[in-house]
Amino acid sequence: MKTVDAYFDGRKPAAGISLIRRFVIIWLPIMLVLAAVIWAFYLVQAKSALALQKAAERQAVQLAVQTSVTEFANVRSDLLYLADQYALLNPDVSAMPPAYAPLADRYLAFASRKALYDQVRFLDTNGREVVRVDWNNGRPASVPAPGLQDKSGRYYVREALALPQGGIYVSPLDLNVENGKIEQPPKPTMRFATPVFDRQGRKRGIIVLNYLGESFLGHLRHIAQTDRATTRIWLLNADGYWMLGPRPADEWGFMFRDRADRRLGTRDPQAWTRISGGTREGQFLTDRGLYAYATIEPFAAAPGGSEAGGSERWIMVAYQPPAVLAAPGGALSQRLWIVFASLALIFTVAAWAIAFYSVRRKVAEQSVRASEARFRALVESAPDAIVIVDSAGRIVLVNAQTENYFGYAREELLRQPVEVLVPEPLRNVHEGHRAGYAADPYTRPMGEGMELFGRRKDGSTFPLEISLSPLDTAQGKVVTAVIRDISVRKQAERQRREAQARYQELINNLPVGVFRKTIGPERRFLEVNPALVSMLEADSAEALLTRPVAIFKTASGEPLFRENGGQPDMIVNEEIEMHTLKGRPFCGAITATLKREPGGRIYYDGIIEDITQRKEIERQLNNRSVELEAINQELEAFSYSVSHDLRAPLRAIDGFSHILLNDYSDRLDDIGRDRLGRVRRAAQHMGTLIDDLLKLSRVTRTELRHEQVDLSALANEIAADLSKQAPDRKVEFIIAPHLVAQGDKGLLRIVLDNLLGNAWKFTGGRDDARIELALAPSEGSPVFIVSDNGAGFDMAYADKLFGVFQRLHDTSEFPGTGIGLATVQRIVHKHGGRIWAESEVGKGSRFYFTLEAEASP
Amino acid sequence: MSEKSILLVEDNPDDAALTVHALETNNIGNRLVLARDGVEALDYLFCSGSYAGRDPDDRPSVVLLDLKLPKIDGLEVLRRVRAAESTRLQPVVILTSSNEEEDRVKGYALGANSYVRKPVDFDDFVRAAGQLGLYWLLLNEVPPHAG
Repeated sequence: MKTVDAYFDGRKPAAGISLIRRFVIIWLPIMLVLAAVIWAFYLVQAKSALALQKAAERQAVQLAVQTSVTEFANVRSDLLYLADQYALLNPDVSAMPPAYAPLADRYLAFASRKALYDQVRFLDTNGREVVRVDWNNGRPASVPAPGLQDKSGRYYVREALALPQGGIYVSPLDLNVENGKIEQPPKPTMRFATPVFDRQGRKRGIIVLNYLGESFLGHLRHIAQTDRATTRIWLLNADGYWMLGPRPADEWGFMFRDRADRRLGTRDPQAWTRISGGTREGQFLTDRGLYAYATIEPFAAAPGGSEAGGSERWIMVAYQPPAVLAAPGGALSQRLWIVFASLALIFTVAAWAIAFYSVRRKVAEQSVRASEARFRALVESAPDAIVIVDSAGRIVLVNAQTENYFGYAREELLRQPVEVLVPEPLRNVHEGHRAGYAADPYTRPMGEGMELFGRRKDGSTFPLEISLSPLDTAQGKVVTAVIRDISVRKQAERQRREAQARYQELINNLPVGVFRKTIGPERRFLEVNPALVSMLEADSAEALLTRPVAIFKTASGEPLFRENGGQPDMIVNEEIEMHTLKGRPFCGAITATLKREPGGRIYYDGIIEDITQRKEIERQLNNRSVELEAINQELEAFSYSVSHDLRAPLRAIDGFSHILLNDYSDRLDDIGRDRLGRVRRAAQHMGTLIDDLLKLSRVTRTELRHEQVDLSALANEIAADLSKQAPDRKVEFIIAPHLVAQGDKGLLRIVLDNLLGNAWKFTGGRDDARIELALAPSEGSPVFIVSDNGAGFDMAYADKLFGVFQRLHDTSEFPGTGIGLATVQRIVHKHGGRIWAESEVGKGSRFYFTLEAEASP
Repeated sequence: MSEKSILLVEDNPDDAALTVHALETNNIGNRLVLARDGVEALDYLFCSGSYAGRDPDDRPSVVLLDLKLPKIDGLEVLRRVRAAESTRLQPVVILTSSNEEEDRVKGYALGANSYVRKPVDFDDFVRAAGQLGLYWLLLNEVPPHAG
């Protein structure tokens, strides 16, 4: 079944493609949905991560701003507190100099505990340092008097001395400069100063705090570090220079000549534009990172006091670089990729499995359907009738040929007992047979050796052959009957038998002996017909068939059918002397043909004719023709004699009569002369007769020559001759030009001589004589016609026209011998042609002739 | 050169007489020698046999030769005449009753100078004889004698 499937199912290779197509149909949408879900998830996640980062940044900026506010509020309060100490320690304003030592002690304690200030100084109104405590990097100490300096020239001293009570001077945050050089390591420093007044309100000097910026910047760094280390906190001045920046080397650009370009404005112009030109605070995203900023003026509006240099404006920036920004998204996408890949793999496998099984089921269904269709087609197109019968003998299936054979429609047969197809007289028997078959089912031809018949719907029967095969099906046992209508074959067999019988009869009836004979030592007849049996005077056919015969010998005694090689393939009409089995000699003519069987046997099929009688006749004929030859020769000699010898006496008769008439006329009376005249005329007529007879016999004897003959030219010559002979006659010759025929010129001249001569002769009595040679209209061979308007003849005698010595006219009127037309006819016949005539007395004659054999109709 | 003569070879005395008569009728009075068979004709021409001693230079102007002759027939006579050196140029006219094509062909093939058929009608015969005599005796120039 597999191979048959493969053979029939041209779509087999398409199954693979169909599988792939089905897989793609299932897999592709799943993949698209999966990708969409994962992508949406990614987008949501990425968005929320960014929002978190933004919030964190904003928070960091707020924290930094808060920190700076708090820090510098503390510094301010510290400064004012220290300023107040002077008045507290010097209640007596008149005491001079004031008590600076306690002041120094307090300052030292303050500096030690605060650890925020690099220097705590008290300067008198002249700008000289009076008290000074140095932090000394964690080892604070009061500077003794020799170490105190005059700072009256410094700008902050001057500005601070000018301030009212409670006014605070704040220097910008920058790096500490010692002796004109930036102190190393760099020390970010801010100077806070405020004037000091005694109890009486007199200005006694100023107090200056060198605030260590590192503390403040440290706070800011701390904020950055606490925020999951992703956010950087920058502190920018109003020009965009970093005081706290991405790298230490980027910071304090405004302090160093070689760092003048290290500003946000050059690093990220877009960001700087947003920050410097926009609102006081905000948040934005550029190519280079996420920024949150707030502009602060830490010393702008300190309540309850005026401050110098309070215009200082800072920008607090929280920044996250793109790398940091992308990091959470990247991690997310990596995780999602893994999820996506895993799900994709699972779905792919699932889709493949679904597609595979679905296609396999479909193919299986198709194959079942196709095989069913093939089975139906096979059954339907079968050249035999197929009838399937269930165990109860009812028809369950028939094919188209069954309908043809039996004349029933399919519906009429289904569920009917199979016996409807059996001729009535056999139905009961058939049921019995069927029961017998059911008991012992096996595949076999039914009714072997007997003739079976089927019954058509119209009751007629036909011969058939049936093969039966049992089949177990889900519906039980059934029997398949394959039925073949063999009426054609039966008829052919009958025809063959009849033909055979006819041929047998033909051979048996043939008056010639028919045989088949082997050659070689046994030389036996294999077949003989009754004619041969009687020809050979055998008692029966068996007498010929049962023994070797040696009757075929040529005249020289050689066997006709050679024994060893050289057998002729064909013997044609070989005449040999033979003997019958009883010894009687006879003459036989044998025609035989050699047959070689594929097995190597060689034999002859042939016929024998007893030609004894024919031979005798032949012999007699032969004798007769010898006699005829002799007679012919005699006749020849006779003709010659006639031509020569008979004429001589005639000439003598005529000649001497003439001499008598001429030379002796005076001795003859009128009657004598008349008689002599009659003698001469008779002699001359006989001369003509002899000439004509000779011509006739010559036509018979002459060998016919074939050449192209111009009949028109011949006729013109003859007409001219005739006209010359009788110049006084007036005859119109109408001779068609270019009449050409194949034939013997001499003989055709005789024909025209006679016909035209006759016409000339029989128009003798007319003044308007007209003689015509023309081609008569005809379809086959050309028909020539010689016509005249002369005396004509009575058609009643037309059959005598061409006989020798037959004349239709009185000699005295139209002289002639009666041999001319006989000669003409003989010539025409000799050419294979035909001559005939039409006429009417007084109205002329028409002679028609052809010169070649007409195609037989 | 003697008088012009005619050798008539004819076995039939009637025909001979008629021929003579016809020639006379036409006023042809030349010498006419009659041979009654082929042998005699050849003897005359070859000056042999009964004509031995005849003047060999006396040759007839024309031989009128019948074909059907006793002993040696006319065609054989012609053959021998043409075969002999002394007579091969001799004018010979076949004068015969036969109109057989075969005779005509043979006659010309053997070298006959003319072939004339004797008509049965005597008037025609006289006319023919007259024309023959006139032609061969008066008009025709005999060939120079060989040798």
